[in-house]
Amino acid sequence: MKKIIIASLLLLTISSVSFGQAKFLSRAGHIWFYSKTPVETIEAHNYQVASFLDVTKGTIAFEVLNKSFKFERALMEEHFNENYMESEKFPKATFKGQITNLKDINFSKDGVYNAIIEGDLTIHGVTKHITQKGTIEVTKGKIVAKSKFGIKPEDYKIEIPALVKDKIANPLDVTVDITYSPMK
Amino acid sequence: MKKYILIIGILAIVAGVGFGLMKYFKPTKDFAKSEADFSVTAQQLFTEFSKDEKNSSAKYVHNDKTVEISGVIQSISANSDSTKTIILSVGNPDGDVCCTLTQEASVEGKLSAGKSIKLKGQCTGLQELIAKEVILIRCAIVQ
Repeated sequence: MKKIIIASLLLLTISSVSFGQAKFLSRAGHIWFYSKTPVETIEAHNYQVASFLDVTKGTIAFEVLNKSFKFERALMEEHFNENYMESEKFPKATFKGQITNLKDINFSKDGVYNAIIEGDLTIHGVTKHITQKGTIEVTKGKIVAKSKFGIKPEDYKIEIPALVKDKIANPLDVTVDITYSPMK
Repeated sequence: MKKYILIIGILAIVAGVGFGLMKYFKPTKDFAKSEADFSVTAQQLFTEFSKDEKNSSAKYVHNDKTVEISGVIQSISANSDSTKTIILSVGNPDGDVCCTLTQEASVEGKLSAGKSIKLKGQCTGLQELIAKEVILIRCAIVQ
Protein backbone atom coordinates (compact mmCIF):
# COMPACT_ATOMS: atom_id res chain seq x y z
CA MET A 1 0.00 0.00 0.00
CA LYS A 2 2.72 2.39 1.04
CA LYS A 3 4.54 1.67 -2.20
CA ILE A 4 1.47 2.53 -4.24
CA ILE A 5 1.04 5.82 -2.39
CA ILE A 6 4.70 6.71 -2.91
CA ALA A 7 4.51 5.68 -6.54
CA SER A 8 1.39 7.74 -7.19
CA LEU A 9 2.89 10.73 -5.35
CA LEU A 10 5.99 10.40 -7.49
CA LEU A 11 3.90 10.21 -10.65
CA LEU A 12 1.95 13.28 -9.58
CA THR A 13 5.10 15.31 -9.04
CA ILE A 14 6.56 14.18 -12.36
CA SER A 15 3.42 14.99 -14.31
CA SER A 16 3.04 18.38 -12.65
CA VAL A 17 6.63 19.19 -13.57
CA SER A 18 6.16 18.25 -17.21
CA PHE A 19 2.66 19.57 -17.74
CA GLY A 20 2.60 22.36 -15.18
CA GLN A 21 3.65 24.88 -17.77
CA ALA A 22 1.15 25.49 -20.53
CA LYS A 23 1.90 29.03 -21.63
CA PHE A 24 5.12 30.06 -23.34
CA LEU A 25 6.21 33.51 -24.41
CA SER A 26 8.76 35.29 -26.53
CA ARG A 27 9.36 38.99 -26.75
CA ALA A 28 12.46 38.84 -28.90
CA GLY A 29 11.46 36.52 -31.70
CA HIS A 30 13.10 36.83 -35.09
CA ILE A 31 11.15 37.20 -38.35
CA TRP A 32 12.95 38.08 -41.54
CA PHE A 33 12.25 38.21 -45.20
CA TYR A 34 14.43 37.74 -48.19
CA SER A 35 13.97 38.70 -51.79
CA LYS A 36 16.51 37.84 -54.44
CA THR A 37 16.24 38.86 -58.06
CA PRO A 38 18.97 39.35 -60.66
CA VAL A 39 18.65 43.10 -60.07
CA GLU A 40 18.74 43.33 -56.30
CA THR A 41 18.81 41.38 -53.04
CA ILE A 42 16.65 42.72 -50.26
CA GLU A 43 16.76 41.41 -46.71
CA ALA A 44 15.04 42.77 -43.60
CA HIS A 45 15.18 41.55 -40.03
CA ASN A 46 12.88 42.09 -37.08
CA TYR A 47 14.19 40.85 -33.73
CA GLN A 48 11.37 42.32 -31.65
CA VAL A 49 8.60 39.85 -32.45
CA ALA A 50 6.16 39.13 -29.63
CA SER A 51 4.69 35.63 -29.61
CA PHE A 52 2.50 33.49 -27.41
CA LEU A 53 2.15 29.71 -27.43
CA ASP A 54 -0.23 27.59 -25.36
CA VAL A 55 0.98 23.99 -25.58
CA THR A 56 -2.15 22.43 -24.11
CA LYS A 57 -4.60 24.23 -26.42
CA GLY A 58 -2.21 24.53 -29.35
CA THR A 59 -2.94 28.21 -29.82
CA ILE A 60 -0.21 30.38 -31.24
CA ALA A 61 -0.08 34.14 -31.89
CA PHE A 62 2.39 36.70 -33.22
CA GLU A 63 2.60 40.44 -33.26
CA VAL A 64 5.09 42.30 -35.44
CA LEU A 65 5.69 46.04 -35.71
CA ASN A 66 6.51 46.96 -39.32
CA LYS A 67 8.79 49.75 -38.17
CA SER A 68 10.99 47.25 -36.32
CA PHE A 69 12.16 45.69 -39.62
CA LYS A 70 15.73 46.73 -40.31
CA PHE A 71 17.02 46.89 -43.88
CA GLU A 72 20.50 47.31 -45.25
CA ARG A 73 19.60 50.58 -46.97
CA ALA A 74 17.64 53.49 -45.56
CA LEU A 75 15.80 53.88 -48.87
CA MET A 76 14.49 50.29 -48.77
CA GLU A 77 13.26 50.84 -45.24
CA GLU A 78 11.57 54.05 -46.34
CA HIS A 79 9.86 52.40 -49.31
CA PHE A 80 8.79 49.43 -47.18
CA ASN A 81 7.15 51.63 -44.53
CA GLU A 82 5.82 54.44 -46.67
CA ASN A 83 4.86 52.89 -50.01
CA TYR A 84 4.22 49.20 -49.38
CA MET A 85 3.18 48.49 -45.79
CA GLU A 86 1.81 52.01 -45.15
CA SER A 87 3.03 51.66 -41.59
CA GLU A 88 1.40 54.89 -40.43
CA LYS A 89 -2.00 53.44 -41.30
CA PHE A 90 -1.22 49.78 -40.53
CA PRO A 91 1.55 49.77 -37.91
CA LYS A 92 1.55 46.02 -37.24
CA ALA A 93 1.15 42.58 -38.74
CA THR A 94 -0.48 39.84 -36.64
CA PHE A 95 -1.09 36.11 -36.74
CA LYS A 96 -3.57 34.18 -34.62
CA GLY A 97 -3.91 30.46 -35.12
CA GLN A 98 -3.72 26.89 -34.05
CA ILE A 99 -1.33 23.96 -34.27
CA THR A 100 -3.61 21.44 -35.98
CA ASN A 101 -1.50 18.31 -35.37
CA LEU A 102 -0.99 18.90 -31.63
CA LYS A 103 -1.20 15.14 -30.91
CA ASP A 104 2.05 14.59 -32.87
CA ILE A 105 4.03 16.94 -30.64
CA ASN A 106 5.24 15.89 -27.21
CA PHE A 107 6.14 19.12 -25.44
CA SER A 108 7.54 17.26 -22.44
CA LYS A 109 10.02 15.21 -24.46
CA ASP A 110 13.06 16.71 -26.16
CA GLY A 111 12.97 16.44 -29.92
CA VAL A 112 12.15 18.09 -33.23
CA TYR A 113 8.54 17.76 -34.36
CA ASN A 114 6.81 18.73 -37.58
CA ALA A 115 3.95 21.12 -37.01
CA ILE A 116 1.05 22.28 -39.14
CA ILE A 117 -0.19 25.73 -38.28
CA GLU A 118 -3.44 27.19 -39.46
CA GLY A 119 -4.82 30.64 -38.79
CA ASP A 120 -5.39 34.23 -39.77
CA LEU A 121 -2.49 36.32 -40.98
CA THR A 122 -3.10 40.07 -41.13
CA ILE A 123 -0.71 42.24 -43.12
CA HIS A 124 -1.39 45.73 -44.44
CA GLY A 125 -4.90 45.57 -42.96
CA VAL A 126 -5.81 42.48 -45.05
CA THR A 127 -6.58 39.19 -43.27
CA LYS A 128 -5.95 35.85 -45.00
CA HIS A 129 -6.59 32.37 -43.69
CA ILE A 130 -3.38 30.38 -44.20
CA THR A 131 -1.99 26.90 -43.47
CA GLN A 132 1.78 26.49 -43.21
CA LYS A 133 4.29 23.88 -42.15
CA GLY A 134 6.93 24.41 -39.52
CA THR A 135 8.96 22.68 -36.84
CA ILE A 136 8.78 22.71 -33.07
CA GLU A 137 11.98 21.93 -31.25
CA VAL A 138 11.79 21.03 -27.57
CA THR A 139 15.02 21.17 -25.55
CA LYS A 140 15.15 21.25 -21.76
CA GLY A 141 11.90 23.10 -21.25
CA LYS A 142 12.63 25.61 -24.02
CA ILE A 143 10.68 25.62 -27.25
CA VAL A 144 11.90 26.87 -30.62
CA ALA A 145 9.33 27.29 -33.39
CA LYS A 146 10.51 27.69 -36.98
CA SER A 147 8.76 28.13 -40.28
CA LYS A 148 9.56 29.32 -43.76
CA PHE A 149 6.94 30.25 -46.30
CA GLY A 150 6.17 32.55 -49.20
CA ILE A 151 4.06 35.69 -49.19
CA LYS A 152 2.68 37.34 -52.31
CA PRO A 153 2.34 41.11 -51.89
CA GLU A 154 -0.82 41.23 -54.02
CA ASP A 155 -2.60 38.84 -51.61
CA TYR A 156 -2.41 41.60 -49.02
CA LYS A 157 -3.23 44.44 -51.42
CA ILE A 158 0.35 45.67 -51.42
CA GLU A 159 0.96 47.36 -54.74
CA ILE A 160 4.41 47.13 -56.23
CA PRO A 161 4.85 49.71 -59.03
CA ALA A 162 5.68 48.25 -62.47
CA LEU A 163 8.99 50.11 -62.44
CA VAL A 164 10.37 48.12 -59.48
CA LYS A 165 8.48 44.85 -60.04
CA ASP A 166 11.58 43.05 -61.30
CA LYS A 167 13.53 44.15 -58.20
CA ILE A 168 11.26 42.36 -55.74
CA ALA A 169 10.81 38.59 -55.67
CA ASN A 170 7.27 37.23 -55.76
CA PRO A 171 6.57 35.37 -53.57
CA LEU A 172 8.92 36.77 -50.92
CA ASP A 173 10.55 34.31 -48.53
CA VAL A 174 9.50 34.82 -44.93
CA THR A 175 11.34 33.00 -42.14
CA VAL A 176 10.05 32.75 -38.57
CA ASP A 177 12.39 31.74 -35.74
CA ILE A 178 11.05 32.11 -32.21
CA THR A 179 12.57 30.91 -28.95
CA TYR A 180 9.96 30.61 -26.21
CA SER A 181 10.43 30.62 -22.47
CA PRO A 182 7.85 29.49 -19.93
CA MET A 183 5.54 32.28 -18.79
CA LYS A 184 6.38 33.40 -15.28
CA MET B 1 22.37 78.61 -78.21
CA LYS B 2 22.18 74.89 -79.01
CA LYS B 3 25.38 74.39 -77.03
CA TYR B 4 23.84 75.93 -73.93
CA ILE B 5 20.77 73.72 -74.15
CA LEU B 6 23.03 70.69 -74.46
CA ILE B 7 25.12 71.75 -71.45
CA ILE B 8 22.01 72.42 -69.37
CA GLY B 9 20.62 69.05 -70.47
CA ILE B 10 23.79 67.21 -69.44
CA LEU B 11 23.92 69.07 -66.15
CA ALA B 12 20.30 68.13 -65.44
CA ILE B 13 21.02 64.47 -66.15
CA VAL B 14 24.15 64.48 -63.96
CA ALA B 15 22.21 66.17 -61.14
CA GLY B 16 19.35 63.69 -61.53
CA VAL B 17 21.61 60.64 -61.47
CA GLY B 18 23.61 62.12 -58.59
CA PHE B 19 20.44 62.74 -56.62
CA GLY B 20 19.21 59.22 -57.32
CA LEU B 21 22.49 57.65 -56.24
CA MET B 22 22.61 59.80 -53.14
CA LYS B 23 19.13 58.64 -52.19
CA TYR B 24 19.95 55.01 -52.92
CA PHE B 25 23.12 55.03 -50.85
CA LYS B 26 21.76 57.26 -48.11
CA PRO B 27 22.89 55.68 -44.84
CA THR B 28 20.41 54.59 -42.20
CA LYS B 29 19.88 57.30 -39.62
CA ASP B 30 22.34 56.98 -36.76
CA PHE B 31 20.11 57.43 -33.74
CA ALA B 32 23.09 57.21 -31.41
CA LYS B 33 24.70 60.28 -32.91
CA SER B 34 21.66 62.37 -33.77
CA GLU B 35 20.22 64.90 -31.38
CA ALA B 36 17.15 63.82 -29.41
CA ASP B 37 13.81 65.16 -30.67
CA PHE B 38 12.12 64.13 -27.43
CA SER B 39 13.39 63.41 -23.95
CA VAL B 40 10.95 61.49 -21.75
CA THR B 41 10.81 59.04 -18.87
CA ALA B 42 9.79 55.43 -19.54
CA GLN B 43 6.66 56.00 -17.48
CA GLN B 44 5.67 59.09 -19.50
CA LEU B 45 6.17 57.36 -22.83
CA PHE B 46 4.24 54.29 -21.69
CA THR B 47 1.33 56.36 -20.34
CA GLU B 48 1.08 58.34 -23.59
CA PHE B 49 1.01 55.18 -25.71
CA SER B 50 -1.48 53.32 -23.54
CA LYS B 51 -3.83 56.32 -23.55
CA ASP B 52 -3.61 57.14 -27.25
CA GLU B 53 -1.60 54.85 -29.48
CA LYS B 54 -2.48 56.67 -32.71
CA ASN B 55 -1.40 60.14 -31.69
CA SER B 56 1.64 58.85 -29.82
CA SER B 57 2.74 56.99 -32.94
CA ALA B 58 2.32 60.15 -34.99
CA LYS B 59 4.45 62.00 -32.45
CA TYR B 60 7.25 59.49 -31.77
CA VAL B 61 7.25 56.83 -34.49
CA HIS B 62 6.55 58.52 -37.81
CA ASN B 63 9.42 60.37 -39.49
CA ASP B 64 11.97 58.42 -37.46
CA LYS B 65 12.24 60.74 -34.49
CA THR B 66 15.11 60.22 -32.05
CA VAL B 67 13.69 59.48 -28.62
CA GLU B 68 15.75 59.82 -25.47
CA ILE B 69 14.36 57.81 -22.60
CA SER B 70 15.25 57.48 -18.94
CA GLY B 71 14.10 54.83 -16.51
CA VAL B 72 14.91 52.04 -14.11
CA ILE B 73 16.20 48.72 -15.48
CA GLN B 74 13.82 45.82 -14.86
CA SER B 75 15.81 43.17 -16.73
CA ILE B 76 18.49 42.68 -19.39
CA SER B 77 18.56 39.89 -21.96
CA ALA B 78 20.74 38.83 -24.87
CA ASN B 79 19.31 38.32 -28.37
CA SER B 80 20.17 35.92 -31.15
CA ASP B 81 21.83 38.68 -33.21
CA SER B 82 24.23 39.44 -30.31
CA THR B 83 22.43 42.62 -29.32
CA LYS B 84 21.11 43.26 -25.83
CA THR B 85 17.62 44.24 -24.79
CA ILE B 86 16.97 46.37 -21.74
CA ILE B 87 13.49 46.36 -20.24
CA LEU B 88 12.59 49.54 -18.36
CA SER B 89 9.88 49.45 -15.73
CA VAL B 90 6.99 51.88 -15.96
CA GLY B 91 5.49 51.50 -12.49
CA ASN B 92 2.77 49.23 -13.86
CA PRO B 93 3.04 45.41 -13.79
CA ASP B 94 1.14 45.09 -17.09
CA GLY B 95 3.58 47.08 -19.14
CA ASP B 96 7.12 48.16 -19.85
CA VAL B 97 9.39 49.87 -22.34
CA CYS B 98 11.62 47.49 -24.28
CA CYS B 99 14.87 48.97 -25.66
CA THR B 100 17.16 46.98 -27.95
CA LEU B 101 20.70 48.29 -28.33
CA THR B 102 22.68 48.50 -31.55
CA GLN B 103 25.30 45.84 -32.17
CA GLU B 104 27.98 48.49 -31.68
CA ALA B 105 26.65 49.68 -28.32
CA SER B 106 29.15 48.79 -25.63
CA VAL B 107 27.71 47.36 -22.47
CA GLU B 108 30.24 47.32 -19.71
CA GLY B 109 29.41 45.58 -16.48
CA LYS B 110 27.67 48.71 -15.25
CA LEU B 111 24.18 47.51 -16.15
CA SER B 112 22.03 45.64 -13.67
CA ALA B 113 18.41 45.49 -12.62
CA GLY B 114 17.35 48.34 -10.38
CA LYS B 115 19.83 50.84 -11.81
CA SER B 116 18.80 54.02 -13.59
CA ILE B 117 19.72 54.46 -17.22
CA LYS B 118 19.29 56.91 -20.08
CA LEU B 119 19.04 55.61 -23.65
CA LYS B 120 18.51 57.09 -27.09
CA GLY B 121 17.00 55.34 -30.08
CA GLN B 122 14.16 54.83 -32.54
CA CYS B 123 10.65 54.24 -31.23
CA THR B 124 8.77 51.75 -33.44
CA GLY B 125 5.43 51.59 -31.64
CA LEU B 126 3.31 49.72 -29.12
CA GLN B 127 3.07 45.93 -28.92
CA GLU B 128 0.13 44.50 -27.00
CA LEU B 129 0.14 40.73 -27.48
CA ILE B 130 1.78 39.77 -24.18
CA ALA B 131 1.90 42.97 -22.19
CA LYS B 132 1.64 46.58 -23.24
CA GLU B 133 5.12 47.28 -24.40
CA VAL B 134 6.58 50.35 -26.10
CA ILE B 135 9.40 49.25 -28.42
CA LEU B 136 12.64 51.12 -29.08
CA ILE B 137 15.35 49.81 -31.40
CA ARG B 138 18.82 51.00 -32.52
CA CYS B 139 19.44 52.30 -29.01
CA ALA B 140 22.63 53.74 -27.58
CA ILE B 141 23.35 54.25 -23.92
CA VAL B 142 23.54 57.95 -23.08
CA GLN B 143 24.45 57.51 -19.44
